[in-house]
Amino acid sequence: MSKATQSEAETGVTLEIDGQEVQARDGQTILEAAKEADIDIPTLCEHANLSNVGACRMCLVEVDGERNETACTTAAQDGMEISVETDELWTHRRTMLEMMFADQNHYCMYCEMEGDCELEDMFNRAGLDSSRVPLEYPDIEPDASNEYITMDLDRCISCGRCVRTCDEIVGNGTLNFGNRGRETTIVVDDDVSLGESSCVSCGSCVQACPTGALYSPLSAYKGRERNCEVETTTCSECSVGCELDVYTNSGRIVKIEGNEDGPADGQLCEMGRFELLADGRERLVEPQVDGETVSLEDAIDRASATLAGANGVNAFASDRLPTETLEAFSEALAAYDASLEIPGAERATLESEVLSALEAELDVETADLLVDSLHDLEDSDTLVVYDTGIVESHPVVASYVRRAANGETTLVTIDDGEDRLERFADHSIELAAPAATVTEQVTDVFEGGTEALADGTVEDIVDVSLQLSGDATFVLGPAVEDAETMVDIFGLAATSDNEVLSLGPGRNSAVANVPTDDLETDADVAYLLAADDRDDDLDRSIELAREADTAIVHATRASALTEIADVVIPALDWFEREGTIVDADGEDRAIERVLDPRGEIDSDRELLADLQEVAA
Amino acid sequence: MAEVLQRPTEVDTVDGQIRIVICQGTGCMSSGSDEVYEAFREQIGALDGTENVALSWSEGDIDHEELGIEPKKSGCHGFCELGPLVRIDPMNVLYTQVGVDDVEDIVEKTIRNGEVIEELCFEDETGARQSRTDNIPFYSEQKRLALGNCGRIDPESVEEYKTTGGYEAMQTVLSEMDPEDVYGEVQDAGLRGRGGGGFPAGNKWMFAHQEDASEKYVIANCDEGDPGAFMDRCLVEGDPHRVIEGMVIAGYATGANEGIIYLRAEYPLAVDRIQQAIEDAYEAGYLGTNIMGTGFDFDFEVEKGAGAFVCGEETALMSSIEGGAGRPSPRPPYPAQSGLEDKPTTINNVETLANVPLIINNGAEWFKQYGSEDSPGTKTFAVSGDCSATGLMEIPMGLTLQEIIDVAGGIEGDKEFKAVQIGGPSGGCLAEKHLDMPVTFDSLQEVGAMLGSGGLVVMDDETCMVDVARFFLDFTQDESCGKCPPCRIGTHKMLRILERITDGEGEPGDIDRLEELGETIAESSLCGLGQTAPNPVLSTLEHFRDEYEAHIYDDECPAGECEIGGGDHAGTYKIAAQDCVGCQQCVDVCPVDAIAGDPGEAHSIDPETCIGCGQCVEACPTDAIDMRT
Ligand SMILES: Cc1cc2nc3c(=O)[nH]c(=O)nc-3n(C[C@H](O)[C@H](O)[C@H](O)COP(=O)(O)O)c2cc1C
Ligand code: SF4
Ligand code: SF4
Ligand code: SF4
Ligand code: SF4
Ligand code: SF4
Ligand code: FES
Ligand code: FES
Repeated sequence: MSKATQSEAETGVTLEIDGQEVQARDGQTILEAAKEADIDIPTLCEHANLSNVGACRMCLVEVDGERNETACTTAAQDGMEISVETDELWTHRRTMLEMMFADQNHYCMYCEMEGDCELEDMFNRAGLDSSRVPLEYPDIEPDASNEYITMDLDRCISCGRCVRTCDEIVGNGTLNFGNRGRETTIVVDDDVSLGESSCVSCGSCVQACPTGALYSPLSAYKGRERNCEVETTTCSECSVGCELDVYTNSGRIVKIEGNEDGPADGQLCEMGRFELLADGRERLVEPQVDGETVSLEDAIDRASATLAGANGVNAFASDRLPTETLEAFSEALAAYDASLEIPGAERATLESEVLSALEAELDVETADLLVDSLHDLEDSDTLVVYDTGIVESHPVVASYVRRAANGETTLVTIDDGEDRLERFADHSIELAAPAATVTEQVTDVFEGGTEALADGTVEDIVDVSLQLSGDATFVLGPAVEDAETMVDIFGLAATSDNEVLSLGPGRNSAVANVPTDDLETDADVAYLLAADDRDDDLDRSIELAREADTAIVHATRASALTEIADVVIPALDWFEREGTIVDADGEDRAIERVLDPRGEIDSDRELLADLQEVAA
Repeated sequence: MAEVLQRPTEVDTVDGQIRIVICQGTGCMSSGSDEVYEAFREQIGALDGTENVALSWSEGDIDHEELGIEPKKSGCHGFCELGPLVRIDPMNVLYTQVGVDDVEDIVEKTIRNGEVIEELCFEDETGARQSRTDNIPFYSEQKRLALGNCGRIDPESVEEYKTTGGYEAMQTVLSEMDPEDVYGEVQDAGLRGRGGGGFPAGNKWMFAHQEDASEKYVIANCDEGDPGAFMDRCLVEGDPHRVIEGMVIAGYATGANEGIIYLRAEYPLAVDRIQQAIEDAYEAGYLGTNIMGTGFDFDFEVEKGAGAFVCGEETALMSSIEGGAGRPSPRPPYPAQSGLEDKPTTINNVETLANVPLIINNGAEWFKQYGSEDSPGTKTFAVSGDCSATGLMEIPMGLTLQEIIDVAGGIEGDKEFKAVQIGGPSGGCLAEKHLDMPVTFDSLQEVGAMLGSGGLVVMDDETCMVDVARFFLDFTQDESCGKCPPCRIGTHKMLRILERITDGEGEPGDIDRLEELGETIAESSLCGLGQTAPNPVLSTLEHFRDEYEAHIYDDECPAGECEIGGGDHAGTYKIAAQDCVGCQQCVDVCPVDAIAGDPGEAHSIDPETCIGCGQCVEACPTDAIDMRT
């Protein structure tokens, strides 16, 4: 999508930028055309995926030798002659930078973002080393009330990238401009601290801020971007599968950013951006048996012997793991005749069964039924969210829902408890058994027309959902569990030519294809692949470990679980794994190794294969 | 012996009435004109019918029933300084500063006996009392087109508006003209926007007309944030139906069926008047669906402004109507392409719109007989400052500055003219050499000023031009919306430099800094506010540079306005930059190294270091060094 604000640029235009001939596409801005031609026009307020506001004035270019325009807001037109690098323009840019320098606290050597700051780069590029205008800046206390985000408005240049990010990308509208003139400042909600605000700590604004005005204390002083290596991988904290750009320096993760060319426009949520980074628990690198450090072989032998001698084995694997690891685990278990539980499997399996049944019965392609891009949510006329728990479980989807609701889309939310999207919903419905009740009537309406409905709130929802057939989208949250509901909703979508985004509790949707069972009641051995040992997985693992006589654990971090386990085998942490996971859209996504494994183990998969071999 | 009036005949009157028109504009109301109006009602009520009171006029008696007598309200006459104003028509008698206590006298003497009360008449420069507006230059030199009805008709009455030809132009347009003819006529008339930019209104309408859209808007801009300007308020208070008529015509010409007037909330009377007028116009079928049976629909609403100066800028104005922050956005797209709610939108100043019905009724040629070639018609000016008859005046474009000042009664007292600031806070300062320049959109642009909304501050020779620049910049920097750095920060930095200059703390190099900052702000700012904010500084630097230099180098305010003295530094020495040749001889003799400066450039003495030994004075070959006192 082009962001030109001029009504229309001609198709296939040719213009000249600093003497170089440049081709631009229909509706592109001068800046976009220049970028594609590798011409670097200075910018500060412009940012990929955000609307252009022309605020910072850095991108002023001379058009046809007669007027200055901002390249970020002006459409490229055929025959334009653009100058970027003139002395006069640089004089203006330098003078403006001098103003910013003189009006704020930009002593880079004391700044958390020194070395990673677009403003500092611009100072350097303009050759600004001192200021000839009176220095005077307000002394604003940094806001450190959010554990992951610090706001130091002494360094804010009011470019508005954070405001637009929170509004246009995250759909949350937490940040705004307050006051005017020189007192202009970023205001959080109704002027509260970030910690008390509606902020969902997604950190998208931090990523967007060009200066040191917004930064994460988790990353401060850990290393400059240009000294880092970057690996792009997939987040496995939920089934959205956001792309993470992980910055590392000397074997340590410096920061995690959302990939701006990725499916979520550079967004991540608190889990993907900060919690992964904040994990300070001790890494587990040495195998242990009965609390004593042993060699890996010994640990495997012991595990294998325990499994072989078991009366029954209850196994558990985290659904954060790559598909390949889960498969290897499942195969290894087969050798010991174990029962396997994976958290998201039940819902995922149900869903795939429902879909194949529908495929047969209604003659639809599953692929046509599923939303293929999060942007589809914004393009729907109506969005029906069953279970607003997605705000916690799939935060980035919640962003797209909010964005849609802030736009033209009618948002209908249905929940049996607190509606976490109430502020954005056009219709917020509280129902005891949300989906089932509604869909029963949906089906009625579908067959008998809207008249078939009795009065009441349900009618409203259904009305809205159906009136706009063709582009309604149904979002199913993790709380939807029963087959009936699922059949109804997918059926409704199929027959009304609409789409569904199904967000189960599982992270890796491939769990649908891994055979799982009900656990045995009297198994004496628990075999646990606890992945990153986060709370949810950990709680269940501990429960199973306690029920059994002997517990074997593959773990990444020391925890209450490793304390009670009889055999502890180190496992790869999320940034050491390789493989694929399947996201909510059913796509395979790559998990890339970001850092070399700490311990002896190079591959969970090989280790599991070893275990299988020992059994054979 | 008091002047005695001619008995009016039915022919002279509107509706066969003697009208006692009491100004109910904001200025007069604030000095009690509403009470004066009530007092008239009471007095005339006492005269009412029953007694068949004889009014003795110069030609026999008349019965007041035969010739109705009625107190009427009017909008502002523009002469607020002398309010409350009471005017008696058709005899054209003007009483100034009328109090409740004068009412009985007026009824008894003037109404009953046709006798003029001298003490209530305007006193001209010579001390003579002038009873008729025709003899008061402030009135007689004006050409009131846009404000033609203001101060004459009751703004709260559609009927009165109709007696002046009101709504006829609308009827003609809607029933006899194509939209193309309408904007064509306005193009032919050469009507240019009165809101500041001077963009040809007819062209603007044509662009909007050419946009293909099912919904379009027209907006009347009555934000009027310039301090001291009040012509738009006057117009809306005094003749609201004219604005409505102009808007319906603009709607028809551009293809818009919805109109909004954006009015500052600080104008409660104007808000009331226009709201009342809209209601009355709906009732009379001049607004709403199928206006006067022509099939044209037009709805009209009032939007109260947020009160910021920048909200008068069109993109900020639209954002404010949409409920957003009053922050401008870059153009293009122009409102005519994508404006309110992204629909094609035509924005005009209310004065621009008020000229339209006249152009339709009388034709483009008639309009062009007023004003100059590049700027036809008239313009309202709010003249303030050191003139004797300040106020609101509408005069043909193209009068010279001197002529305008004369209409405003000339410079007050025995002072000399020094400068005018034209175009409001973002206009420029003009000097004596511009006095003979005709004032038009283009001529002002050429000399780095602008017509703006028509604010005109006249300054005599006791005015410090540095302080004037500081004053205006203080206003604009305070009104900056804060979106773009040159305006948000740059104006503030300029202000700080001006402040230190007027405080006597100016530094060598400050003038260059002001110029550099000013140029960048003018060239780089996003909207008109920033682009024009440095004008007062840059223009005073151009015409009164020596005053800046005197402040900086001589610690002296030539106009004597700024309090600069040696202060803490009395007894130390200073160098007059204009006399310094940069020979460095003083540098060599100073025992404490207080003197700095490059060879050949003006030197300066750091007063903190100077011990007042005076050796430099001896050394200076050009006598450029003096003691601070
Ligand atoms: C800072 C600023 C303030 C303005 N204030 C006003 C105003 O109060 N009234 C007005 O009519 N135009 C104002 N304008 C001009 C408007 O943007 C716009 O050009 C005008 O309303 C167009 O009408 P016109 O063509 O009839 O003059 C202002 C412009 C700027 C940059
Ligand atoms: S925000 Fe940027 S320019 Fe300012 S102090 Fe920090 S690094 Fe320097
Ligand atoms: S962290 Fe996310 S929700 Fe919070 S203010 Fe920033 S963008 Fe908005
Ligand atoms: S906090 Fe950062 S992104 Fe937000 S306006 Fe300030 S400088 Fe820009
Ligand atoms: S939304 Fe899901 S995939 Fe994206 S960052 Fe958050 S947890 Fe990771
Ligand atoms: S020039 Fe001033 S008023 Fe205009 S957008 Fe910039 S900061 Fe706002
Ligand atoms: S990048 Fe274009 S104005 Fe900021
Ligand atoms: S208010 Fe009465 S003359 Fe202006």
